[in-house]
Amino acid sequence: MPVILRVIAAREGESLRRDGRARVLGWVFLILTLASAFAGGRYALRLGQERSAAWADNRRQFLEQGIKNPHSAAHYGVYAFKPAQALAVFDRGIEPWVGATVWLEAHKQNDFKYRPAMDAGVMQRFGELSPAFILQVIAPLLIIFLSYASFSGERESRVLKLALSQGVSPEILAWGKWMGFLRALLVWTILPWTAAIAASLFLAEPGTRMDVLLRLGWLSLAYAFYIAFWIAVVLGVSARMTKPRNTLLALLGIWLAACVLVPRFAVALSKAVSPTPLAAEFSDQISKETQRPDSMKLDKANALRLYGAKTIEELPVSFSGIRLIEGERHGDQIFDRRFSELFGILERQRDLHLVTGLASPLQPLRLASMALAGTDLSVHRDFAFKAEQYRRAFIRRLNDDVLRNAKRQEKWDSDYRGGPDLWASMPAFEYPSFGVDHAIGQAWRSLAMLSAWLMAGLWFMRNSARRLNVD
Amino acid sequence: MLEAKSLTKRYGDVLALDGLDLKVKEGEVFCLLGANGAGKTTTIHLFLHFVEPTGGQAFVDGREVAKNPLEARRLIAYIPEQVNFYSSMTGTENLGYFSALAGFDYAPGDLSAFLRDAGLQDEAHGRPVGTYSKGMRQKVGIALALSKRARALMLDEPTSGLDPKASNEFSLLLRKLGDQGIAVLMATHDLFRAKESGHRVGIMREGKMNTVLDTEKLGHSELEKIYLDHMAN
Repeated sequence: MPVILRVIAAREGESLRRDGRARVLGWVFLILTLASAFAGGRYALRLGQERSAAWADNRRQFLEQGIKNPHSAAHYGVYAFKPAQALAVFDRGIEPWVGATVWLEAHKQNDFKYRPAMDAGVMQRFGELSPAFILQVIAPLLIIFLSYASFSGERESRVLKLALSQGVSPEILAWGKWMGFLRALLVWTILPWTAAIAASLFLAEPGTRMDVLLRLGWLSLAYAFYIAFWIAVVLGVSARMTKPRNTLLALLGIWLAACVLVPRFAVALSKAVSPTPLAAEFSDQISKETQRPDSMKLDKANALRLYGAKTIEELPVSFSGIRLIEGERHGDQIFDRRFSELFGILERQRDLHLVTGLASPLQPLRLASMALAGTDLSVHRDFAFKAEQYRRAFIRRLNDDVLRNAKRQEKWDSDYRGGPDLWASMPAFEYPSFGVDHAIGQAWRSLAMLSAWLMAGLWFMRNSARRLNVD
Repeated sequence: MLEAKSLTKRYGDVLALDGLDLKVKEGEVFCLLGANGAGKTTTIHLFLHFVEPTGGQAFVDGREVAKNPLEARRLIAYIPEQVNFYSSMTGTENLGYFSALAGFDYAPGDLSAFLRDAGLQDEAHGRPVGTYSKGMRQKVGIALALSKRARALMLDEPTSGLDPKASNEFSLLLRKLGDQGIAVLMATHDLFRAKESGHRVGIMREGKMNTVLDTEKLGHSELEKIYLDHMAN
């Protein structure tokens, strides 16, 4: 790196260090980020403990439910809990909105329950006070307040004339300032970042720590790009505006558009273009479809034909079991179609959010951050899919027991009973989440867009510096 | 050292500088006199390439400014009317930083020596510049000229706002710089100081150089009379 860049960058850093206002802003930023990381860590730890306790309790209740018909046990059901992601400390992603708990029972693929957003106040809809939110929304404000006068203030005080009269090019001056602010910002974020790493590693399962570290590496890169972009934009605008006050107003306008209006617009746009059905409406439609008389049950004639029997009593298996299994099979087809449509809608909404990333770098950053933290839609969809696969296998085992052991009669055999041995033979649900490769696969488009924003920001800064006016 | 050939600057319909021809030799102190809007600051800005000329050429030590602006600036030290440095940094730190921008890397002791040569008292070297008077800041500017080994010094209204003692000290300092071979181009309203500091004065009006006078051949009152005559006509 040329010495002159180091000199300019060092002066900017030193100037920030001596500026009382910068120190106050820096401390506020640091405390906010650390507090949010601490709160996020505590929340994730409590959530993990509660989910483990609830899972153990639910499993015990299932095993101790006593003697009953296996189909009653299928209706008794079990809960599937999505394990808390270690990096949810940093970015909780869509989980507050989509939930992490699903009740698995016979005949139904249920929607997720207990979504934290249901209990959230109006202010929380602006965003969770997570380290991710602070870096995404508050950090640009910090950058603006620290560096808006970088060129316009020096122009007003005539220091800019003096600097340029030394024979340094305006571009070099801009690059040096950019490096100085970037270094200062990165130094300020080291402590909270280290705290986030420590909390994530503490919460991570022992075998997943390397995966968490790799994800953190990618997250660091994404956020460094974002911060570097904002510094470039602030310097570019400062180089173009003549008065510091006007620079500040223009930059606050840009922040408002990029960090508040575009994300709100993206939500409205995605809902308008790809509307999600209301939860109750969605559930009603599935109920109506699964309960249509023509689709409810396999009729007797079909069952006899299928097994080559003349009477129900001649069937090699119980007619009650056949009806249960066929009913599930029919329902599963409907659930597959309906939930596939629903996730298709959600994925189109996510893609629209990425498209709105053409108007604000916050959009691709948010998507990349969620993907790398493992709290994005793809992980949720995968969890929902695997929980549903488990539900089907779970119900199938219970129905198979009825199929094999219930009486060969046309009437539903309500006398047949299963017991603790059968319940204990049911494996518990376990969810192995994706590795970092999947996260990068999900995030690469957002990361590419973020890189393009950074390039555009740097180009803007360089171009503004070239046109730098001393008066 | 400094040369302008038919140097012209137009801002829209306003002709700020109209075909200026000027030469300032090494060691010469040349003062530009004139009312506001006469073209004095524009001339300095054109030598520093802060603005593009509409026509003509400016040269610093034979280098055409428009073609080599950064090179030309490295040869020039510039002190604007409101000379300001980074207020939270000390005199020594400011001098070190601006010298580094000009491509020089000095030890703190060397920087203090330059400040001392420019007349800034030792006790002020380690104080933040925010506590300096204008005269003290100008001395840092002069120290900068010395540290970057400037071949030419451009001053824009340097004595406005200075008390008579500081103003006198400043004149002596300019003469000293002239004696060291530095060409000085100073824009000023101050006839007395122009006569005291300058070897020659040029009276400008509405972008034109009306006349150039040798200060040694003129008394203060004569210079004032000539100046007022030019302003009146």
